[in-house]
Amino acid sequence: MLSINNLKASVENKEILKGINLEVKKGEVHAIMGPNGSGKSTLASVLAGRSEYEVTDGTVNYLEHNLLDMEPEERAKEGLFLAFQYPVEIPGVNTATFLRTSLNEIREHRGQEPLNGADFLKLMKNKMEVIDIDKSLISRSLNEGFSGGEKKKAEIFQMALLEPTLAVMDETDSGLDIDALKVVAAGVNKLKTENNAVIIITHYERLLNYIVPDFVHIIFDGKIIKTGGKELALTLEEKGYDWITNEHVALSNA
Amino acid sequence: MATPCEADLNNALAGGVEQYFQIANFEIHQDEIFLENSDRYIMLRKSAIAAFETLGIPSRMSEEWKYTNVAKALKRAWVQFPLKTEKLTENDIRSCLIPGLDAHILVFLNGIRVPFTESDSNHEVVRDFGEFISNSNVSPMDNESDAFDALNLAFANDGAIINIPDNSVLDKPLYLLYISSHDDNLFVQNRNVIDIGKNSEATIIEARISLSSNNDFQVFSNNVTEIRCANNSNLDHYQFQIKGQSTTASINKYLVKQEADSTYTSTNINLGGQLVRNNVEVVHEGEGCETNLSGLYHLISDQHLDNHTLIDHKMPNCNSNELYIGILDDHSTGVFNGKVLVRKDAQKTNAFQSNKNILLTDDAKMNAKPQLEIYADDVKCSHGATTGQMNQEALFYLRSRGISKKLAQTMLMEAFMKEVLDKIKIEELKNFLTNILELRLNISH
Repeated sequence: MLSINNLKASVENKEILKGINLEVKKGEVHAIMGPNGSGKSTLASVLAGRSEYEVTDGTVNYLEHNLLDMEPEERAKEGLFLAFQYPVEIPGVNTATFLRTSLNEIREHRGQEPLNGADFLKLMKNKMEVIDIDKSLISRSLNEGFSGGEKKKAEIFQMALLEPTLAVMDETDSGLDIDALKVVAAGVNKLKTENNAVIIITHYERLLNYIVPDFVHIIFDGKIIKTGGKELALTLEEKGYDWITNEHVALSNA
Repeated sequence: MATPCEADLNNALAGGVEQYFQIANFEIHQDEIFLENSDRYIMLRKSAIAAFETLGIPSRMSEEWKYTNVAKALKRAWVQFPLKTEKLTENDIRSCLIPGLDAHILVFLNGIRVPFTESDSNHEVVRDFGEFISNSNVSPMDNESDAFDALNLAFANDGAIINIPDNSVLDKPLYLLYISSHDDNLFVQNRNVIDIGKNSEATIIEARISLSSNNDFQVFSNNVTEIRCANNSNLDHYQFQIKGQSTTASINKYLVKQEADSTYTSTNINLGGQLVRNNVEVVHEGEGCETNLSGLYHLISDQHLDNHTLIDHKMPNCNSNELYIGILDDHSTGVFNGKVLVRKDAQKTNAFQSNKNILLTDDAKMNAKPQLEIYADDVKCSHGATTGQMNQEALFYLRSRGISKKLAQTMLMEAFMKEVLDKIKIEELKNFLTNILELRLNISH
């Protein structure tokens, strides 16, 4: 589904990603973990198409498309979804209106009829049963005045509505209390099918107690330096990042 | 061929002091120009002409006109009193009405009141213009006056004179419709008076709509509206200008006197006109006044809009709120100059002012100048002005959800403008303007 090959990216001429390689197949859950400043969020931003990042080398193939050539909205229409680390507040844009616009743009791309108001409301009601989210948020301006936890839950709710093929969750767990974390994790687990895939980008292994990854990758200094199964996250929990980064630095210097 | 008085006007507008109005000419032609001949009427007109003669057209050297080159806009040969009157069909007029709005309607074509079957021309609130000028409280003009106010008083020959008696509520909004349609360069001047009696309430909507399509000609309108809100009265005053991006220019002055416990709310939506200057001057004559001024603008092409406001807090315990927001596209230019004067006696004043702009291009330009002058010590005042690009984070967020760049930009612009649109309490007007705005935003980028 997703094939990242030697991806290098810079921001303001500073190289952040220094050759990322990653294969994601449908039905898989990948966790990408790493210390602060290792390039985790940059990877998420590059995949979603944020223009501040300049890709200097490498390829990203997504569902037979050259992902790097696509506009952010085209990526979304092809089923890529980024759950933002810091969802932006947009005063004046009603959440429900936004969701319906977004859904209908994507439906149009899929060759589906746009949903009318009544059908849309019905769908939202269904999805609210899947994701435990405060109904009143939907009638407010997008993310405006939402608490940190509400913003993250709203991201997962959007994900439930848009049914992405590949979801990239950029530190969705950061700053969440345990209840919100459970809601987010339960949402992801319910949405998981054998036809979609999830990339969970996180600093902490805590989320992985609730969402079991098939693969754990450790990113450091712009590269994936170790890949393993879910047990890698447990080792990381015990020994901390120093264990792996020291090993990596020692190897690089050798 | 231009009549002698037109020649005088053009000389006056063209520059050089020696070419300004000749009182002698004015006296010769006064019968042609004016509707009434009372002594007071003539005295007022003469004082205005003398004041204008001294003041002249303001140049950009003048601080108040630093960013607006009105002299340049006036460089045309103007016809002041069109001999042939344009004919408007009832359907032309209907095309300028607000769908679904039940209102009292007064229609002016090129500054002259015209009949319209749906007008309540005999409505008791509307008085005759000439009679008004003769009996008005307008002070004779002097050298301290504003040149365009003086010019207006000198030559205005029609306007809406609205008088809401004490203790009454105007049953439905009054729609003042100013249409311009012409195949000549017209210089139009209306002088309006709105007098809201004690404990009374009214809603007035002022529309300026151009039906001209001939870009070779312009209508320049120089209007003055004097407003008095008596004790405990409430005036909701909407003004909007649409179309005429290259065929109209206007200077609109609103002189508002508020007596104790009155509320004056002005909402100005500006989409039309090549050059527009709005001057709103509010003075509090009594305690407990509230003033709310809002403005919304979307400028394209070479449009220029200058919003000048002055709130004179003379009395204690009064509030004022100002919110002007706008989007500037292409190489349009905007000015916001908001002065709040809090005089020594105006304790417990609350005065808030905000001006927010989005520039869509590198060529668009905004000059924002908030001015707070505070002489009282127990007041709450704040002002802020921001000018920037569209929020790129928000744009990316929407796009990352499959919404095209163009639609996302439109959504963000609508959201930005909503803050003022939501202040429009008349649903029909709000829908009407929202639709025009949406269409315009979709077409223009």
